Amino acid sequence: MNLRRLRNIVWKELLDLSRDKRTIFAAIIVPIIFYPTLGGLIGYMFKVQPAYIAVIDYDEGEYSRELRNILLNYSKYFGNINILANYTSEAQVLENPNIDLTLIIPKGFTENISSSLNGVGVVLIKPNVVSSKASEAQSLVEMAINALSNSIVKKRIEMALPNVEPKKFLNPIEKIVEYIGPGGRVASPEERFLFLTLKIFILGLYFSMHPAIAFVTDSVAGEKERKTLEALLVTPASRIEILSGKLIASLVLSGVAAGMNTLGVFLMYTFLFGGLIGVQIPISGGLGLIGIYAIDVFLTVTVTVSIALLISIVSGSVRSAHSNATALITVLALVMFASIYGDLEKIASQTLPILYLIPYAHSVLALITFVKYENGLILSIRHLLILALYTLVLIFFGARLFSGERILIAKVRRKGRRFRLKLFA
Amino acid sequence: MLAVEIRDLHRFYGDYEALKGVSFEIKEGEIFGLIGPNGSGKTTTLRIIATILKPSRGVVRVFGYDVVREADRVRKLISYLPEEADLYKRLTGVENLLFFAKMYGETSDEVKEMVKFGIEISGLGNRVYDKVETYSKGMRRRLALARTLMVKPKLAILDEPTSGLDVYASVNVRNSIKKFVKETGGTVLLSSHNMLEVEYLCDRVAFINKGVIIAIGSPDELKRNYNASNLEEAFVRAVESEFEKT
Repeated sequence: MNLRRLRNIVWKELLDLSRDKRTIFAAIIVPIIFYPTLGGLIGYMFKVQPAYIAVIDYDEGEYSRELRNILLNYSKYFGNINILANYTSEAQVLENPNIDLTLIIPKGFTENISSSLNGVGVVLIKPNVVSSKASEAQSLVEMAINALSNSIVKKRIEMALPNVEPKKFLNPIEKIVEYIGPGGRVASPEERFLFLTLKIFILGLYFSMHPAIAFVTDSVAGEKERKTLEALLVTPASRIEILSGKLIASLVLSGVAAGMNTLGVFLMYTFLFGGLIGVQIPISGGLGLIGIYAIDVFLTVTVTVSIALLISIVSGSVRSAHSNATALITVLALVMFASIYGDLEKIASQTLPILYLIPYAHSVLALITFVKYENGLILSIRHLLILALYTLVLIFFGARLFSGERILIAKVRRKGRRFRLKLFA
Repeated sequence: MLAVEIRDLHRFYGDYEALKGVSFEIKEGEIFGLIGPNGSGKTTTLRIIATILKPSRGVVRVFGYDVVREADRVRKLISYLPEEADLYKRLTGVENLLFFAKMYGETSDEVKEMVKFGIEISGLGNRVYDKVETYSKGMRRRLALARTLMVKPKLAILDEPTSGLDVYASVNVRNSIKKFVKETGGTVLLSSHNMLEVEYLCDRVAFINKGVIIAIGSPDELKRNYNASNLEEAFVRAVESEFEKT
């Protein structure tokens, strides 16, 4: 290996990369602009979007008024929820498409409750199916109804059983909830958001891969397509030197992308929670998780580089290399999306061990095991090492393909016949 | 000493035989032309000599070194201009030259000397400091040729050096090749289907058709042997006479 020539190839690749606006934009600008904006936007949209609850009170009795008052009181603590109690009919409500939920208190509500100890008042709750805030509004209404029910039951107990303490009568079981972390230790309040944190991080992992695909396909298949590769292969530089130069440049890009991605995801997290609940919450898992995430992104990007490299070597054009690499990597990365809806570690270890064969499963598992187990760091490092091993194996095969004639002659299948296509003839 | 020695060269692409026992020699300091129509095997022959394809059968030596077993040694002696080869578009002309010069040069003085020579051969003047993506096709071809010749290879392999260029650009390229040979004493192997160009540039010429060498000689000898007024006519008659033999 001639270091002078290797340095020269790396210099050329990085110079070329530094002028490739598309890749720079995707690797550096997108993570630090797009992620925080996305996080902030989701949080802000959720926070500023008002919810409207229309209350139609046909009863106008003691308990219906109490229910409206409870609703008004609770809505003050429930963010941007507005109680509109001035509607007199359902037809009026239909004229306003922004109503998220309608609460109808029929005539006789108070009378039914007051008539006997067994009396039941009925209310109608009508959430709007196209509203994103309907479930939040419904929660508020149900809380208010529970509060009123408790108050009525208390009165009934005081009336029927004067010697019984209503609170204990109503709640014969007291529940104490204590969140626990790995090893049974009591979890900190922010650790209650760990599940959500992991989802955000996994999403960040997925987005980190795409700049690398673009760079590698351009660097290898692009050289073939532009016909600069042939002249390069005839220079005294060995093919291993050429490939290593391209890989080193890719690793530099991976490192930069990993740094930017980590920063971007951190900011996204901060802005998201800032928007959602109005306060900044430190990332659960702390600096350790952020460090593991940064290494994880780097190794995920390098394994992506190796897959894209293999595909680029056997592809005849940048377009086919890019589309094939993106398709394959997207299919492999489905485990990332799957892990947003379930615990991949549990699924892989108990029902689907085949998932361990997918490199990106280890990208996800490195994060999950870190937060899930007491010895999470060791388990996480094991998954990171598997990712590194995948990279080395893929690079080994890439180097073999790059050293042969395959780099210049692509094999294609057409109409069932197999033949070789001469790319440069 | 022989710059290139080829004996019974065969090359298959799957079942298709692109070269069917090609044999010829090129002397040191010669400009040798390989002439033939599209698909005749010119590019395959040049790529084998340039060490990027392997022969299926036969022997190819460059300055005595075997292109398969001693490919590393061969690559230090040659430089190759592929047909329609492009450059790194986001780099400037001089950065392209510098990149290739650093592949060959051992010291920084050597690299500087190569780049200086490359700028001179390219004839691009101050445009050499602009990004290649702003160049015309002719400018790119001149720069690609300069990149090939600036390293002063013992053997320059040029595949269709003037392909797709207009008359003026073609003349510039031919003059650059002449200048290279005059100043360095290097050997040039070029392929072309432009007979006038070959007649103007080459000391000796080989006609190749369907993977077979059908005639070799100086342009004058070939014209005389086939009783032709120009190389184009000589080539057509050589193909016809080969057809009659079979």
